[in-house]
Amino acid sequence: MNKKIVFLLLAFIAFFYNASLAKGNLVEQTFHESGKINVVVAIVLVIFIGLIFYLIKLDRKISKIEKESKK
Amino acid sequence: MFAKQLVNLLKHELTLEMKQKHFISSIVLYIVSTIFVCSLSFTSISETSIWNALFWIIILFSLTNAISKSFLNENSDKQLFLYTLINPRVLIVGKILYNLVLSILLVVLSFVVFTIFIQSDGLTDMNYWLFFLAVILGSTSLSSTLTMVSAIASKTNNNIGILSILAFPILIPSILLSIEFSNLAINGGTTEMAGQFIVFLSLINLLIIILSFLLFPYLWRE
Amino acid sequence: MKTVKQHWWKALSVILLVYTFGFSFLVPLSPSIKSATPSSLEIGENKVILTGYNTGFTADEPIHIAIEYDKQTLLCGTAISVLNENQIEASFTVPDSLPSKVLHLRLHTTRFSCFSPELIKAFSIVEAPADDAQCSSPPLASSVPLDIPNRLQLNETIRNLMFHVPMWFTMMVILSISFWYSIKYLNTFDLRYDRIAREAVNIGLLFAALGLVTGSIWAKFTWSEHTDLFTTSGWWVNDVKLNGAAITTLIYLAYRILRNSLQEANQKAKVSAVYNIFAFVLMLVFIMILPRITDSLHPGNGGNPAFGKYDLDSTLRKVFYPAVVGWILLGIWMLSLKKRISTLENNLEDE
Repeated sequence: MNKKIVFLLLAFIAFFYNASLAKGNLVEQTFHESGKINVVVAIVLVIFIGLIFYLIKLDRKISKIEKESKK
Repeated sequence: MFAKQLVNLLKHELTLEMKQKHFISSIVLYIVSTIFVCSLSFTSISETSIWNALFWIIILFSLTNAISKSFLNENSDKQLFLYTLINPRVLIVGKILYNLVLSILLVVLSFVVFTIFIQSDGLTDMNYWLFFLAVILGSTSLSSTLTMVSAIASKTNNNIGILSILAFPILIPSILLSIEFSNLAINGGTTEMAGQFIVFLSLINLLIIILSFLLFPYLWRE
Repeated sequence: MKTVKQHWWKALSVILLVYTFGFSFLVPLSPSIKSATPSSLEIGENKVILTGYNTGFTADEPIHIAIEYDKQTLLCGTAISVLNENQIEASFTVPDSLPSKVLHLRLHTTRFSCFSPELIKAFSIVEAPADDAQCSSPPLASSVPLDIPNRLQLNETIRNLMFHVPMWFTMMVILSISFWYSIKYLNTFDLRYDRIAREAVNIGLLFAALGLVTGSIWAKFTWSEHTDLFTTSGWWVNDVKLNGAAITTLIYLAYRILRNSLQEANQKAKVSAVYNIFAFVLMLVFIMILPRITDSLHPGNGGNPAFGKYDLDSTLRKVFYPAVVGWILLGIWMLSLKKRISTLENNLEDE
């Protein structure tokens, strides 16, 4: 279930990325304008997503433990 | 005591090898057929660096294949009995030494077959002694790492798959160093130019052997 | 009091990270010259438009512009007019004596002074500069403002120093913790240590993934255009440090596969501890040796200046070291959470 969602999300991102490439390299442009500040934004976002990913994993593990301790 | 056990172990390994001739001949056949397949697809490589890289990749795969079997026989009862009698440190040193000799033989063989089947124009400047040194040092680190990792992998069920997954990432430094080193030798470098490669590769070899010596008893003890 | 003693480092981590984020987003980049048009000069009068970044020119401030043909001789710009906050126009009267080479341009105001690398190319070829073309260099700006240095290739992305680089430091620290606990396990055969080693590898892999992705994004948009050493436009740059990181990731993914393919808990712990120690030491060797024999895009390697040179007044250092400590403490915090959870899990299984 979860893997499917991730896959779909990745497919969407890839699709939009390619679509924007076709339109005169929009993504590249955004990253190069105004002193490449958007590269910094992208990197901070990646780290943020990574930490959220960690939280989700932690959440799952804790729910598993809660379930088992109730038994 | 240590030396005596070591000599006995090596004798034992050798007699075992002689009994199972099919094993060594299968490896030789593997090398020859791999090189033959490569020669059909390349015939002649004008770029010496590609020639060199292909040579090392073939060595990497054939040594992985040859050494993967070094801890495979240990499951039989007779072997187990033998190995309980000797010190695990003797065992790992013996295995490393044995595999080292085996792999140097295999590498020399593959070098001969490789130069016969795959020509390269740029090989005229080659410093053969330096190339030979690169091959010896490189295959020492390959065979000792692979021996140690095959001991680790023998604890799992899927021996050869796990072996390559575990060993390839740790082998990359020595492979890259050996490739650079032998590239230098092919382009006619001198021993002084290769100084840092010799030092680094020997250090890596020493480190691998020390680590195996220290860690192997933990693997062996049940 | 007890809570303070137990949790001070978590608070420290948060404070340091808040400081890092605040500094890296609020402090402006130092002014610099982005481009000059036309890019070549001719004999006689030339009107040159300079485009700067973060310069904030005002009409009533004194501005000096000079073209430097060598260390002693300067050609001063006259009739300087401010077009907008980032653009000024100046005219240069070139005598019949400008050398044919790439020239540097100097810009001084009372607030800052900057030095553009290689912008103006001159074409006229005569040997000695005429005397009347000389002018003296005005004094440098007296006060050093708090700002982040601006470089041609990096621009704003120099701020990534506070995010991308600490990922690797954190990963290395966490993996060293894993290494340490593997040694401890082999000495005591206590499964608690093995659990810590395992969780540390998981956290280390998370940081490795973050470091790889951020590094890949950063490299794509900075090094893809400017470097002479490496010309790439893809997401993967063939760089020693990047390859080292990739190898580290592969080693620890292999570690996890090894763990999953063993069943019995004690054997799993023992075999994976042996592999962990073996692989960690060889990885360290790799990271230390390989950059010495090959070129790298990273600062301090292969013709790239180190960050120390980017940062003469060490403004970056004031925030880089706290950032590293902050991220490392955050990693250790994450590890301690994981460790506690796996202990709980284990206790439940035992009951």
